[in-house]
Amino acid sequence: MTPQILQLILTLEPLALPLIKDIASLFKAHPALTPDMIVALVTAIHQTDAATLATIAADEASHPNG
Amino acid sequence: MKTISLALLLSLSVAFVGCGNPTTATTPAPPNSPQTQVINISKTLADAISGAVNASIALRDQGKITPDTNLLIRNWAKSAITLNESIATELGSADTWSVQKAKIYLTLTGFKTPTVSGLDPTIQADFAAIMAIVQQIQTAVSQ
Repeated sequence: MTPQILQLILTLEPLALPLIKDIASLFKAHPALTPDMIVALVTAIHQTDAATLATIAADEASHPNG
Repeated sequence: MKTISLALLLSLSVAFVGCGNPTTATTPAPPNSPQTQVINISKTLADAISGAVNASIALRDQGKITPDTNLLIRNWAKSAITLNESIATELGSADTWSVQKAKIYLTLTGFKTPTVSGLDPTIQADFAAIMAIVQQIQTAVSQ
């Protein structure tokens, strides 16, 4: 009995990794950002927009007529 | 029992060794989800608006565009930033993606860059890039 189980395990073992990779690829097929990553990117967008508004405000102060 | 344990251990060891090997396959990266695309494009839009503003100020200082044109671009940039901020805020909200994309699509309706005759090529290129970026967002939220 034991040699048969050992043989079965050794036979199936090469199939295990491709199967795991296939399952993983299902999740990777349409990767979504984690909530933390979304927050970080949205914050970066807000910061860039705020910096541009500050640039505009400074230019308005020094050149009110454009 | 001991033999089975050894067999399992051997099996797991082989599997882990396989995992540790450097990957030589050249599998292309999977496409990003539409939400991920829009977040990245929104950041690109923020950078492009910033670039247009800085270019406009520099060209005004160089005398290559009139103060009136810079004023027009400044005012447009403020409205464009307001639009991009609403997109970013929506993307950071708890809404589902289907709700987010519907709202973003409506936000983009009617967005356009200012029309100025004889505009400097640098600003023209910036505006063309911005409209292309907005088109990318519209495509992503239409999927």
